Amino acid sequence: MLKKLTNRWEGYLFVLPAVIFMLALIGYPLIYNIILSFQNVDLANLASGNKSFVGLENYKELLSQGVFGTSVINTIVYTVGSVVFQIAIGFFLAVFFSMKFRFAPFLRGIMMISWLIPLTITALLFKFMMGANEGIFNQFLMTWGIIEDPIAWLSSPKIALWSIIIANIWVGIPFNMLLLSTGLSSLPEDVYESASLDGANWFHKLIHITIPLLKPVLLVVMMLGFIYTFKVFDLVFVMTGGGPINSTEVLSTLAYRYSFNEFQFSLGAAAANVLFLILFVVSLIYLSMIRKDEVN
Amino acid sequence: MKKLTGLTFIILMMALVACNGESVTDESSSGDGNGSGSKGNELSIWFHFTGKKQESFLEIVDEYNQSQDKYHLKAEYVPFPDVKKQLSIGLAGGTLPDMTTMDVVDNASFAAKGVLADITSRVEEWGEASNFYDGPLQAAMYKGKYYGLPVGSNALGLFYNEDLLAEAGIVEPPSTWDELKEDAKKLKTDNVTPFAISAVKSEEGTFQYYPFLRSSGADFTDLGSEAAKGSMEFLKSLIDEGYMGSYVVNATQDDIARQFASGKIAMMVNGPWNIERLKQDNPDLNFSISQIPKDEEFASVLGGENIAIIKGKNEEGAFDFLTWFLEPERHETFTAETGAFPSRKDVLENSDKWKEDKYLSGFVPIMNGAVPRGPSPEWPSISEAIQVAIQESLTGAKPVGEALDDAAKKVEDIQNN
Repeated sequence: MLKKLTNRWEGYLFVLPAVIFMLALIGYPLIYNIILSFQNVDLANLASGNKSFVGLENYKELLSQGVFGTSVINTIVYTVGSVVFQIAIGFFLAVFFSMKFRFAPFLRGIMMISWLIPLTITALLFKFMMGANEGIFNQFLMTWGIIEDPIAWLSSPKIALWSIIIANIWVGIPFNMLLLSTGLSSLPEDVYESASLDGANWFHKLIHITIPLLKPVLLVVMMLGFIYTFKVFDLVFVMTGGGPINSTEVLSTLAYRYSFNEFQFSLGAAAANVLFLILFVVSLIYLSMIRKDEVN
Repeated sequence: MKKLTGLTFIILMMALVACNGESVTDESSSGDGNGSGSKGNELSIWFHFTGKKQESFLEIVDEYNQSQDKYHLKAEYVPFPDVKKQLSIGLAGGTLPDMTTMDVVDNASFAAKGVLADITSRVEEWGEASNFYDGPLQAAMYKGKYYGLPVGSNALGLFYNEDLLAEAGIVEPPSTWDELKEDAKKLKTDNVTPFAISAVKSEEGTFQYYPFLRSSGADFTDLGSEAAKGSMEFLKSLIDEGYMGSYVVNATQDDIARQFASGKIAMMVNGPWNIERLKQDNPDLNFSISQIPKDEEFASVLGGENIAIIKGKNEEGAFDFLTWFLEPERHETFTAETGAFPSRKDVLENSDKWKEDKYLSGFVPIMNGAVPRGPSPEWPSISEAIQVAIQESLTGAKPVGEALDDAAKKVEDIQNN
């Protein structure tokens, strides 16, 4: 009995550095940010420390600003749009590369490049490629006669968000493909063999075997994609800076703008906390899914 | 299934580590901004000069350190887009330098928030303020007190491609809005857009719109006036008639300069800091500079940098460097070498460097009529309202009148707060 207790105590000791690390680097800023959002902090009292608590004032003001609603909707559209297409195309490619043809591993490796490029570079590249006049997108589309007039990829408030989504889909495909490939390779071969004996064609196998067996992986990938995409900052910041008007403003760029352009640190903190809260809930769902998975 | 999630997890972890690594290095650039000058004779400055200006500035810092042994100045580079962010982080963390360069338009708001030292008595004792241009000096003041000094100015002018204008049979660059439109009609071809400004959603957009606003006779305090609406209608009509691309709402001044260098834009509004770049990008480009076409009167907007001293730091030492840095010969070298304009009248008047330069000479008359933005302690929020109005108008999301009425109301709310 005593031995069991000491064992456990030692166990905790081993975990301690990690816990301290987490508390200092993640816990502290998190709590600081939450406190900040209930205070009234701008440049004037940031240094003096003379900060007063204002309760929910910042959240009320946030809700009263039209741009907040816009940015929540933009963030959701951006995330759902990105994740759906990333997974769909990633899945298609994963299945494609799982057919063991000659250059499959090599080509799959090449595919990873877009995921390795730093996001700011990708964002700049897409900004150039999506230029209205000089951009390669419009030049191709016009030479092929698909469109008559150039598309204002990033300067039309109606299109800009989708242009960023297109860029992000391109970025995210390889990562999704890799995760799904890993999932595919761990599926049992014998099920496919017996299905072949029963006369199932490629499509039947995809619908009745691959997708159902892959469902847990798909869900995990979806959750991870959601969390990763929801907190987008660099891509939007570089490509449009939230414009035109507020058509591509997302929660993270809004929080940045309040804090570092307008010095309304508390308002910025409140916006960041809304982002955090949504992701926190999603993470809880993700964790419960993982736990279920492990019990199985 | 367990093995599977394990694998997924490893990949996830790798992904997270990769992302975090990126953001950590991003943040850490603020880490060594620890120039609190604890040793009395240690001075520190944050500066955002790049390229040639940076080399020149660092040489001057070395020279200062060798010229006297009372202070030792340590200069640290902070990228321009990060200056405001780093200042607020430094403020929260207590790691501010003794002084910092800042965009002229931010000086008043930092002064209003009590971050900067009031150096009025020192400036008066120094007695050189009367040698400075009024516009730049105003931008360093808040409520009649000095909170910094201008160390270099610029303004916006009309850059025009001489070859393209000649091909279109245009002898003189346009000087009024009507002429601009007539010339644009002649300049427009499949490959050439006649005109461009940057209307991007940042301070740059406000900066570029300001000459048009002021030329109409309006100012940021009466955005709802007919004059202000007229200026925006004019820009909108340029887009509607195909003389300016709608992409300008997402193009920075550098983006526009790049296209001008490649000959795709015949005329653009831009500043002297891009002259060197144009020469580099396209050595064959024949271009020249004139006043931005006017409505009521010629107008331009002042840009540039101030050096401000942080409150409660080594104010005396910082002021010593600042005045040394602004001595006429040094100021002349520093500004002339870097395509900037001096903030001192006596320097410009006694030097041939600007009058003889083919490009900079075009800016001499412009500088005389250039006005600062604001100044207002609430400028960042006011500018934000203007940016939204520009973008709403130029993209057609709202009628010009409505967009500017909304902006006028926002500005009024901001100022009453």
